[in-house]
Amino acid sequence: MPAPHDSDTHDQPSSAVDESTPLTPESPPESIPVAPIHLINRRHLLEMGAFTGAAAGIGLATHAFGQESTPSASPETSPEASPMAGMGDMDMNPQHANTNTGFSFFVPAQISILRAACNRLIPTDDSGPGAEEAGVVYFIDREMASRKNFRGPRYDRGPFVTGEATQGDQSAMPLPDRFRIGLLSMDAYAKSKYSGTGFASLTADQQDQILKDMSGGNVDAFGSISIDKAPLTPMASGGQPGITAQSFFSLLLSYTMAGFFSDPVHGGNRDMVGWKLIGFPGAHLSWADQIENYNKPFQGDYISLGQYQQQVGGES
Amino acid sequence: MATKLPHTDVVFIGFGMVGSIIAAELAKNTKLKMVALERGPYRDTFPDFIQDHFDEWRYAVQSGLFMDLSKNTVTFRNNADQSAAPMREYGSFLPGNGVGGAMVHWNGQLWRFLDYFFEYRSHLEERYGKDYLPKDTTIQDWPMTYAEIEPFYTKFDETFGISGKAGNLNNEIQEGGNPFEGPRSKEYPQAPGKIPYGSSLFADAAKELGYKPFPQPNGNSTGAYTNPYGQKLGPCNYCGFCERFGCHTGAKASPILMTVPYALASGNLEIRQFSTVYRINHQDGKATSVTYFDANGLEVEQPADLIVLGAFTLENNRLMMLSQIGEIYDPKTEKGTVGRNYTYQVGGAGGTVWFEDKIMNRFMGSGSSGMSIDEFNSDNFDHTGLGFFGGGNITCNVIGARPILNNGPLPPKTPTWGSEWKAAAAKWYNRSVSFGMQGESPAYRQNHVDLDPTYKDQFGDPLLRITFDFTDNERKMVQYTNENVFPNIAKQLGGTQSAINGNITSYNIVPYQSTHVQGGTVVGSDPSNSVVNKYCQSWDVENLFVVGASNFPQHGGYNPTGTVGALAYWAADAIISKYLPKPGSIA
Repeated sequence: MPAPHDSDTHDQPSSAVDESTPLTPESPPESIPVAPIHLINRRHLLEMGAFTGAAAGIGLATHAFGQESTPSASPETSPEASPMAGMGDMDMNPQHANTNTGFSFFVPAQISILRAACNRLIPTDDSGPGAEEAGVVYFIDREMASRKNFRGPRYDRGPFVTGEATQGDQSAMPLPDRFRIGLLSMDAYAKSKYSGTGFASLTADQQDQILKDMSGGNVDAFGSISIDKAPLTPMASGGQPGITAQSFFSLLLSYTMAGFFSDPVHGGNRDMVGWKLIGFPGAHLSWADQIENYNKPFQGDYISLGQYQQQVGGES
Repeated sequence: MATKLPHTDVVFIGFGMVGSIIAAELAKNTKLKMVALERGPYRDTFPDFIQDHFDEWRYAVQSGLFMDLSKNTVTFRNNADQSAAPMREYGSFLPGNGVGGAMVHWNGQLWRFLDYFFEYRSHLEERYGKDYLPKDTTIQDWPMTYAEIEPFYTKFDETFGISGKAGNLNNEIQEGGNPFEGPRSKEYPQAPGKIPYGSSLFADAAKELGYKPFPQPNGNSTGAYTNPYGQKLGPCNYCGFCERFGCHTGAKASPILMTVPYALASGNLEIRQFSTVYRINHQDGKATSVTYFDANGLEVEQPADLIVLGAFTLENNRLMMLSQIGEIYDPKTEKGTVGRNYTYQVGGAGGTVWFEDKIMNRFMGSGSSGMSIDEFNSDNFDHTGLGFFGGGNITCNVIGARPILNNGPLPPKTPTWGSEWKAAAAKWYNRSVSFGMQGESPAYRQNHVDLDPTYKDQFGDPLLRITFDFTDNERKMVQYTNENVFPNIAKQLGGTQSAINGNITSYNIVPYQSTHVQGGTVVGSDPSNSVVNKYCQSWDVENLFVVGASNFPQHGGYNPTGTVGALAYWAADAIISKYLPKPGSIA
C-alpha cells in the first residue's frame, strides 16, 4: 500500500505547476495579462492575487499530513517552496512533469477566489489542517465539471416555478453556473465593500465579514440574476430558485464540507486530513472486536477507499 | 407499437422484497413460469458492494442506489390551495432502485405493528369515545387481525434472520424484551447483537427512569445464519455503513441474499433489469399483460395470467392510476379509493447529550444495533386530556456517523464554519448520544396522492402528486414528548450539555426525514374504503395483487418493513392456497 502522501496528485509543487499551465499565450484567462510565461514573475502573480491561497498552504505540504501542525512557513519566508519555484526554467521533462492535475471547470482566477473562501470556512489553524491541505478546491472543480448535482441526478423538466420553501429548489439554473456566478458575484461584492479589493486579497477578518453578510442574508442579491432571498438550508442547495448570496453561501459551505470529509478518491480530503480532524477512521472492514470497548478510542489506521480496494480487490 | 412477447404465468412489477418473497414461495410450491420486471440494475454483494460500499459521497450524498430523479420523481404540495412542484432533488425520502429494492440500502430496523393497531379506530373509539379523534382523520381498522397475520410476520423473520429479544411469547411477558408488543409465536431467529456505547448509556438511563428498554429488532445478522430457503447471512461487522449503502459483507437482510437467489435457482424465474413497466393492460376485470420500456427505451408487451404489483408505495399508486384500475380518490367528494390514506412518518421529537469525558466511537455500529423503549408508542400510554392520539417508538441507535452528513450534531450555538466550528467538530464529533421518536402518521381526508396535471416522467407519463401535511394532532404529539419525555432522558443521561429538538410545523420535502411512505392502495373489508381486499387482491382486476406499504390504512410508530414482509407472505399464501386452485375473487 503506498503511503498516502506519496501520491502524485497530492504533491504540492506539482499542483502549483498545474495552476500555471493555463497561463500560456494560447489561453489567457481574462484577468491575467497576456505575456510569455517566462516574463511573468512571482511578484506580478501575487499582486493579482492568483496564488495567495495556494501559497498559504505550502508550509504544510512538505510535512507529513495528520500532524497537528500549522504552516511553519509563509511564502514570503520560504520562497524556495513557493508555487513559482522553478517557473523560470520550467521543467518540461515528461518524467518530472505532472499532467494529471489542474482545473477542468474553473479557471485559476476563479479558483483563487474559491480557495480563499474555502480556507476561511475550514481554516488551517490550531486544530489542524483545513480546506487548503484537504485540496477542497480540486474536489469542487471536479464536481462542477461532472455537472452532477449535490444530491445526484436531478429532475430538470419544466415548467419552472418559484414554489414554496417546503417544495425545495425549483430553479432551472444548472449547478455549475450557480457556482461560477456565485463566486464572481462574491468577488464583486467584496470589491464594492472594500474599495476595489477582490475577495482573495482581503484580510481574513474582511473575508469572514463577507461570508457572514452572505450567510446572514445581509447582502440580498448577487447580480441581476438573483431572484429571491433563500432560507439557509444546510447540506442542500437552498430553498429558492436562482442564486442568492445566502443560497450560494449554503452551496459553497455544503461543497466545502463535502470536499473536506468525502473519501480522497473524489479529489478532496487529501491524506484524510478531514477525517483525522474529527477522528473518523474511514473504510474499515470490521469493528466487531472493538464496538463494545466502551469509552476507548479506536485502535488502528485511517483507511481510504483506494487503500481498502487494494486490500479486497487488488486494484487501486 | 410494442413488441409482444410469448405468454408467461406470472409477472412481477418491481423486484424488491415483495416480489422476491412471492417469487420464492411460488418457486417452492408451484412450477409456474415467472418474469420479474425491474426498472433498475441487479447489483450483488460480490463484487459490487464488497469492493466499494465505503463511499459516502457516491452513495449517501449523491444517491447512488436510489430512484433516478432525472427520469421519474413526484410532485408535492402541502395542501390543495398550493400548486404542486416537482421534487427536483432528494430529499425527504429515498426510494430504492434495482433488484432488492429499498431493502438493499435500508438500515435493518425491523418492527411489527402492535396487535391492537390492526383494529386501531375501534380501539381508540372504545377507549376515548367517538368524539376524541379529529374529525378529518380517516384511520380505519385493517381487514385482518394481528393474530391472523402473526405467522407471516414470523415467516418473514425466519427468512431474513432477524435478531432481537421477544417481549411477549404466546402471551407471556419476557424479561428484556418489549412488553408492549403483540404476542409472538416464536422467539426471534437470532439473539441480539452487540450494543454501541451510546445506546447502552441510553438504556441505563431509561431503566433508571422506570422504562423497559430492549434491543431494537435488527435485520443485520448477529451470527452466521441459514434461512429456510437455504440462503445464508454472515455476521455483521458493525462497519457503520448501512443506510444508503449496500452491505459489503453479506450481513444485511436483503432480497439479493435471502430470496432472489432461491427463486432464480428454480429455473422458473427470469429477471429483466432496466425494464420500466408503465401499464397494466386489462379488460372486463382481468389483466391480460403489462407493457414496459426496456433498457433501450423500446416498448415491450408481456402477457401473463397473474400479475403482482410489488413496487415501492409511490409506483404502486401511480401504476394503478396510469392503468385506470379503480377510481382515483378525490378529497372534495370523498369518492374513489386509489391514492386515499397516504401517510408518512413523523420525526422531529428527540434530543442529544454531549459528554466531555466519554468517547462514543460513533462510526462503529450497524443500522439497527440500538436500544428502544415503547412506553410512548401508539396507545401504550393514556392520552386522556392530552388532545392528541398516537405516539412512537423511542430509540437510541448509533448507525455509523459518516463524516459528510454526520460530522455533528454539535452543541447549540456552535457556528457552522470557521475555526470555532472546526474546534467544536474535533471535540464533539465522537462524544455525543442522540435519541428520537419514530412518530406515528395517521391518515386524513385531505392527505392523498393522485396524478399530476402538469409534470411528466422521462417517457411522458404524469408524475405522482403528493398532497400532504402534518396536522395539529402530530404537532401536539411531538411537542408532548419534547416537553415531557426527552428532557428527562437527557437529564438522566447526564453529560456536559444537552439539547432537545425543535417542534414541527409543516411537512417540508427538502430535508431527509424517513423513507416510510405508505398508503394509497389500502387493504380493506369493502371496495368503498379500500383498493385491495383482505388478501391484497385488487377489487377491480382479480388476477392482480398489489402488495406493499401502499396497503397500510395508516402508519404506526415503527418502521414499516416488517409489516410489508408479513403482507407479502400473507398474500403469497393466499395466492397459493386460495387463488391458484380456483382463480377468481378470493374475498
